[in-house]
Amino acid sequence: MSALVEAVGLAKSYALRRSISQRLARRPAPALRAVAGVDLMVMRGVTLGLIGESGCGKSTLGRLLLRLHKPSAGSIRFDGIDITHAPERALRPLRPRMQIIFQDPYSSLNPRRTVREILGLPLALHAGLQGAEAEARMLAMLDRVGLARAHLDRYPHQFSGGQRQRIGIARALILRPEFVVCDEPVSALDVSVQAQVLSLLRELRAEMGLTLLFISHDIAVVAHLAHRIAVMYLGRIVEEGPREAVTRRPAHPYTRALLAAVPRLDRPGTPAPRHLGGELPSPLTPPPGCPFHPRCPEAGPRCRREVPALVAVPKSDAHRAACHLLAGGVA
Amino acid sequence: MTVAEPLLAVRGLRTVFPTRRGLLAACDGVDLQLAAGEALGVVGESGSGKSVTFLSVLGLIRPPGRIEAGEILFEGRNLIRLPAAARRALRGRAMALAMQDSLSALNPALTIGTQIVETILAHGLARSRAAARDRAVELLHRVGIPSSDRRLNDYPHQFSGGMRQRAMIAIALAAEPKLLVADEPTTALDVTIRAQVLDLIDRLRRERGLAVALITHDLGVVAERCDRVMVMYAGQVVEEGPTAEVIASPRHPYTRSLLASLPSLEDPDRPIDAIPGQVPDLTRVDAGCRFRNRCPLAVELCMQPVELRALGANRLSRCIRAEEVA
Ligand SMILES: Nc1ncnc2c1ncn2[C@@H]1O[C@H](COP(=O)(O)OP(=O)(O)OP(=O)(O)O)[C@@H](O)[C@H]1O
Ligand SMILES: Nc1ncnc2c1ncn2[C@@H]1O[C@H](COP(=O)(O)OP(=O)(O)OP(=O)(O)O)[C@@H](O)[C@H]1O
Ligand code: SF4
Ligand code: SF4
Ligand SMILES: [Mg+2]
Ligand SMILES: [Mg+2]
Repeated sequence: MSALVEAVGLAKSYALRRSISQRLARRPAPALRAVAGVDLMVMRGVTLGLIGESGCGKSTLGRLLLRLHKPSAGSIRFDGIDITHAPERALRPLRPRMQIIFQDPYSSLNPRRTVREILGLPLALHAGLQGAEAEARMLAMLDRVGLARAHLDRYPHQFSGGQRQRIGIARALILRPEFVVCDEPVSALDVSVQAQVLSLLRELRAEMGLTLLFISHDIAVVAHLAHRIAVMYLGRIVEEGPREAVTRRPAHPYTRALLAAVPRLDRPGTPAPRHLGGELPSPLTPPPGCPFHPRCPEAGPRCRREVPALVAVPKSDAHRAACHLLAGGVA
Repeated sequence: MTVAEPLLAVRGLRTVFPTRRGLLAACDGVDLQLAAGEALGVVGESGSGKSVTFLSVLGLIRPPGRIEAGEILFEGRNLIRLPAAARRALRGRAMALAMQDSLSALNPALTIGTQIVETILAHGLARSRAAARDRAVELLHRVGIPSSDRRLNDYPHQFSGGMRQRAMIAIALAAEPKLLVADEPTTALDVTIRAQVLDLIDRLRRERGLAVALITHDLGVVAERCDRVMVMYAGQVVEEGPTAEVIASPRHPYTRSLLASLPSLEDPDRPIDAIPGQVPDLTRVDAGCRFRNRCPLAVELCMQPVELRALGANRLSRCIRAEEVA
């Protein structure tokens, strides 16, 4: 197996506007570190699930991997090609090979374009397809996502949420990409519609041999689709490994807290376990040392000083975590 | 009022909205009961009438929408018959609503403290502004907002999502209501923060006998937090019963389909089954079972009106083949 996408030390900071007092004091604009040094590989044909709380940097990481954002540090390779600083011109031949499906089926489709225009644009732009040839491709794709010819000349508002998400999927897949970032593609959908879209993604993934980065805050949904799972906290990957290992033998205290907080259907009535306290700290003022230490039930003095590195979890295959407690260490 | 008498009893509630396509009965013949200290989970897909049912109870249906039939008994008094002023007073004090979107429910131009203080004063729960302020500090503290005396001066945008939710619950609880309607109060929150908010609601229920109607899409939340669950479909209650029993052995094909469509963390590779077809257009429904176009058990008889009927001591199902659902 080879890595289709590889990130090393990847980081992204957003420069925020200075407040008046900062300007008067001539202090530099504050920077928000949305992604703070991520090492990650996505192997060809593998679905990597990405979970973590709101604002931890999941979307930013997904967009960085597609080079929809410019990284502040680190490097990105796609199929062995270094795209870290590639100009748009150099990225263009790669664009059809990497696509994105967005969360919000309402705002991610241009309301003034028909389905024909939405799907036709990438075909014309990247595949040079027009007319009958393009239409044949569109119809085949629509059919594949469960829509019909009659839908081709309708506008997004004429569809239900689930149908709109199918259009979003059709748009992302019509160029037959290899790598697709799915950024919360079912979060806005009702559970029964969610099930339809998840099943569709599973089928298409098998048919087209897709490599996916599947972002969601719903761990059960991620586990249903992903081979491997990465857990993010405050811009960092704190754990990554095979689905079974991460969900059944989590190595990081945050992953354990996250799993404990998921409401389960199969243990109704049992009192909920003790939940994690505290708030997600602001990425503007990340805590020193382990980013999780202010909330970690197992934090010790070392955690307040040293950032733990993402290292192999002992006795667990291809499983990494970032915690001082690993391998019998002290916190 | 005897102990067994529920705090809230709704019978035959029908709330309608005139639309361009005709009259739409968003809830149509809804019956429900809720006792003090009880948590009732309300589930069902989008548009099934969950919010409209409880907005009707709270008296928040705006014209041209109107309650067309039914009764809403709160502590034994029919709210629909009560004079408007008495009804408003009762609803303001005894019932509260916590909504999904906390940012839009809070006024962005006023500090959190001002909003809580105004609510307390509006309900005459404090003699002076200073006393109301003290109470606001205490309320914020109780919903788990640290250094609450300082945070009182913050504006909503200075709070995190979880803190806003909790502030909103503080406002909802300022009048010490007996009934809290929590309409998707936590879907926008992360699991760990969401668990904190639900823990808080749980504690108030146990310690103060708050009755809670928890409206949500998340059956997992209901499983953990509510003893009883009511499943709605196309404006009607289709199943009701103890949550553990309903999940273990649903007695309505819709509930069963809903459960089958959820991925499970325990068994992640279990295939999930989508429910085929679509919810009927509520302006075009007939007297027959509203689930029949999607129901795997549908037979000709399902075109006749189907009543919500008792199955044993505490289960209800609106299905003629309830006994066969497995
Ligand atoms: N364009 C931007 N300018 C400034 N800050 C940004 C920008 N985009 C994102 N951020 C900040 O970067 C952090 C990470 O955001 P991101 O959208 O990647 O998080 P996320 O994990 O996808 O969250 P969610 O689950 O809510 O989608 C957040 O603190 C966010 O406020
Ligand atoms: N003000 C209104 N005017 C017209 N129709 C309305 C109005 N409010 C609600 N409806 C309709 O009533 C039905 C029930 O709506 P309701 O908001 O109760 O659904 P819900 O179960 O709460 O859904 P969700 O899970 O999406 O919140 C829907 O078909 C809705 O479109
Ligand atoms: S390094 Fe310390 S604070 Fe961080 S997760 Fe491990 S024990 Fe907790
Ligand atoms: S009454 Fe008939 S159509 Fe309705 S749920 Fe039961 S079996 Fe299905
Ligand atoms: Mg995101
Ligand atoms: Mg609603």
